[in-house]
Amino acid sequence: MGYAATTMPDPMNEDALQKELDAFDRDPKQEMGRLPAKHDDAGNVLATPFTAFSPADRRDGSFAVHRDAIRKSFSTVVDGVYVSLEDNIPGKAPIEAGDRPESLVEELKFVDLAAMDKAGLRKAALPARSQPWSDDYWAIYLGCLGKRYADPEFPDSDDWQDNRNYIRKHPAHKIASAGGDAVDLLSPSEKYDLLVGDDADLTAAMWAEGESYYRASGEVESWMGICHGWAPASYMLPRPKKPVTVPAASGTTKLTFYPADIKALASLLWASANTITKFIGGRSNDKDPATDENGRVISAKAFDTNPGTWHLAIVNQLGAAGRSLVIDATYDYEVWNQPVAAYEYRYFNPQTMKLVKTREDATVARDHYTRDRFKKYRSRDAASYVGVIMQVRYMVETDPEQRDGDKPSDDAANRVVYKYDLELNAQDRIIGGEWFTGKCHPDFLWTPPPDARAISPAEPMATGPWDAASALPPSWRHAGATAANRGMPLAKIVEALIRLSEQ
Amino acid sequence: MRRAIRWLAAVVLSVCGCHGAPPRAVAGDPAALRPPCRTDGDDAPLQRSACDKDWSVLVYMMADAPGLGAPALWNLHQMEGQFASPGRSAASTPAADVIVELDVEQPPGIRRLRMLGALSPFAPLRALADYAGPTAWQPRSPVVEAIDEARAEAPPATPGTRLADFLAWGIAHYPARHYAVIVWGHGFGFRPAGAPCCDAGVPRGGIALDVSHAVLDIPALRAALAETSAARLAGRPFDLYLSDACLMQTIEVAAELTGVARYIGGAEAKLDPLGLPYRLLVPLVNGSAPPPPASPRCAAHDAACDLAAALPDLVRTAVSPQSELYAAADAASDARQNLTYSVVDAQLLANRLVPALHALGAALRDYLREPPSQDDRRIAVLDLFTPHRPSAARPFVHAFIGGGRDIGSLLSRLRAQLTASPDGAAHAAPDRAAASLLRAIDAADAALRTTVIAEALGSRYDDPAYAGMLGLSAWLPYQAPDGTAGTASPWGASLRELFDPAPP
Repeated sequence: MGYAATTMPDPMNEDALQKELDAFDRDPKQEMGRLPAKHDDAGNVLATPFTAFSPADRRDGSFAVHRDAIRKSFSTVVDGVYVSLEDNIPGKAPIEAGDRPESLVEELKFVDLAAMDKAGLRKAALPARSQPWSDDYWAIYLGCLGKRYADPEFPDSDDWQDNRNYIRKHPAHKIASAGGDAVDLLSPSEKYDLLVGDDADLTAAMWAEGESYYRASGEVESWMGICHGWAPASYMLPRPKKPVTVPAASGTTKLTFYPADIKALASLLWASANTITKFIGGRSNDKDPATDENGRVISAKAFDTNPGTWHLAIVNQLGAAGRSLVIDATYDYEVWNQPVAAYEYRYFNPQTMKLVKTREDATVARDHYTRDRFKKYRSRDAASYVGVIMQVRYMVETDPEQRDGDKPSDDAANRVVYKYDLELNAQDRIIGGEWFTGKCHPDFLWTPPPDARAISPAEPMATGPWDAASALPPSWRHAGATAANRGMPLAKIVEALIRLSEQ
Repeated sequence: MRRAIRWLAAVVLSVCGCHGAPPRAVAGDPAALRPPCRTDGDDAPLQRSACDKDWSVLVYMMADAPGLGAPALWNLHQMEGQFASPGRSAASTPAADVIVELDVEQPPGIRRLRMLGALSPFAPLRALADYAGPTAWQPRSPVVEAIDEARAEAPPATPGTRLADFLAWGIAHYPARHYAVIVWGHGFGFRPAGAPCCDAGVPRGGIALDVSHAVLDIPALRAALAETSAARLAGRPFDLYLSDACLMQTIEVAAELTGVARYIGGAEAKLDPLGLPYRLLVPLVNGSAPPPPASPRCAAHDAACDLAAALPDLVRTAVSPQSELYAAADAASDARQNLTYSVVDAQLLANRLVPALHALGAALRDYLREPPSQDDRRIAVLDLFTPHRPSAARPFVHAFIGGGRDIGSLLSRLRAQLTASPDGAAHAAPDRAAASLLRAIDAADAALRTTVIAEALGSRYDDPAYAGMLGLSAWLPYQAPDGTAGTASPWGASLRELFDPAPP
């Protein structure tokens, strides 16, 4: 999953930023319609950042509709009431019920820029030990966790059927019976099935997922995968650090779970579990949302998170609480369910469109903001405006590899810059704002609550401990098979493998 | 718990009568004494309160709440707007009165309007936003009573007493042979008595939330209808009760209203802000259009039943691409896609469906307890009833906002899971409890199909994931454990067994 890069200055380079502001000043609609550039950690512009969406989907905007298919499965609890996004008709809102930072963060500690500056929250980064780990999105057309990523003979075909046929021709049980190094090349789900025994067939569930799409339409689209599981797993579960070798259910075969295998199981667990999610935003399935004369989205079918909400959420969540969050930008096909690792921001004056050093220099009183392009959308309570440019560092997907260790330096991250202004009320509290980045900004932010644990419905069946020198105890095997037959691993097994990999 | 027992008691005490025969005015019912208002050749018109029209449609329109001003005006404009056909009307006529108690944010105050037609040209809707703002269309129908809002809302008045007051006033001033009551506003369906409440935010079930967060909860809704029926109709139920609101068509709500309404209509999911199609509905009762055809689901000459059976189809027609109500096909595309509206026979619900669900609950408990596979069974059924991300390996019953599950869909999924499992009916020697559960499912399904006399579902529900949907929901918790699950009833006890089992 290598990305082509071109050497360019750091995205927060002053010259580069001022050029972008000048370009916006000259032609806001053109700038608002642009996909923001992505940079790697070295500051290089990525010419072709990874995206799971096909060229056809990117051309006609179908990627927005595909995203909606996943997003509508999110649910949350509001004041004790279960709310599924599937039952929320797409719509647009300023900061209100679906667009409140309190919906995501546990505590909204910082609500004004002065307090944020004073607390040193103009930038924040998760320490390396807490950095969300990169992983594959385990594409369904490749078999999801059924993909034998380490097998050089695995077709890796764009056609699901080719991949499926290969597995059928080289069934896992025969490889396991033969023993030897070939067992290592099995897929994460095949290893899980051998670990659990008892007719566990997680692998069948993996291939069944693709088969249902294949039978319906003759293909499995490239975007279908479990990035919505990887993203929360990457910071809700510790990083698997070392390979773990445990006995299979047979008692004779030794199974080695590499960090990539354990991450895969963790991602699948979080993709499948019934966890209530905290989120900001709604559904957007408008392929080509209407925009105004400045390029601002005005489609009623495209829910748009307010930059005030964005700023409050990321500063309070990542900066103050030290927790990651997952960002999704509906109209940026390169940003989909990415866990965030760091941010930093600086100011610009939205009246002069010049970079400035201080918040005071960036603040424009309402009456003086004569060049406000978004005047008709402003809150009545806005007393002043401040321009903000924020760089966000977010983790991206990597190809799985069988390594003897997994460290933060094995992860991959991209950086992107967003521009917006913030509306402040008479008490300088952030109450809203307008994007200067156009439609390709984060519009759906989410995270599991800090104490959430992804579990399968079979967890209560697994009782007692597991001594990893022995095969799984019978209750764990029965529970593991019950979970597998529902297309997910047993959480206790995943958590145990992670613990073992940390030792 | 108390509320759940209350609704169970309501079921037990529900009016027993001969299904299918519309109730006649009995001795003591003022309707037995009043002549019809329309009498051919009558030169001396009667005072309105001294005669009966065929129908009075009483609309309690709580639009003093976020986002409801424009939808209210749109619905009222449907009633007042002129038709191309002379004589056609969606408002009051010699045969019927349409009375709206309107509470909107601006202008302040509560107005009771007797809706008249042909007061303004009618233009198909482009967008609800056209009815927002200070220059938006305003109703011109006469205000037959103006009410000081502050006084009306001050204690000891409650949302329930306000509704009762409107209904009593409506019956006294506009008596009729048939009554349709429509409660219009934000709806939140049913929440169990033990569920945590909140003071600001989503209220605890109910309908007609106003800007002060006062809400008409389900017992208060029933009380308003029951007290008015007892005081004004000698206990005769209202012919039709309709919710023009979200999430109200649940068995818990409908069971609470048995005995006070004959037919109960509503949406089990979110109802589009476009609301009910008054422009199509009212002509069917006010004599300006042919009445709805006799429904095979109804007894002969049961006008209320025929109207009830026709209503869901009207709702679907109203949002079809060819609808005369909307200027373009996409104006109602969301409504078309997400529509759920059904009407149930309240008596059949009480006498057949509720008992069938209790029997199902008892059979389910037996099934869950039968050795040796108790754990596996509980996990399987719980997983089926708990919403999660869809996958080929893991079907589940969709949960609407608040936790309602369509009963038809639930029965269909449960049956499919049971027949696919090793101990289901497909097995050569079917397990006793499984076979019994399958029979209970079938009986409940038959009762459901009898109880729901008509339904309309949007295109979204064509997906096989929603197979079996019929437009009536039952509340279940959204995850385990949930201490609010369950009551002493067999159905409630089965929910407790699933979602909050006693520790071993």
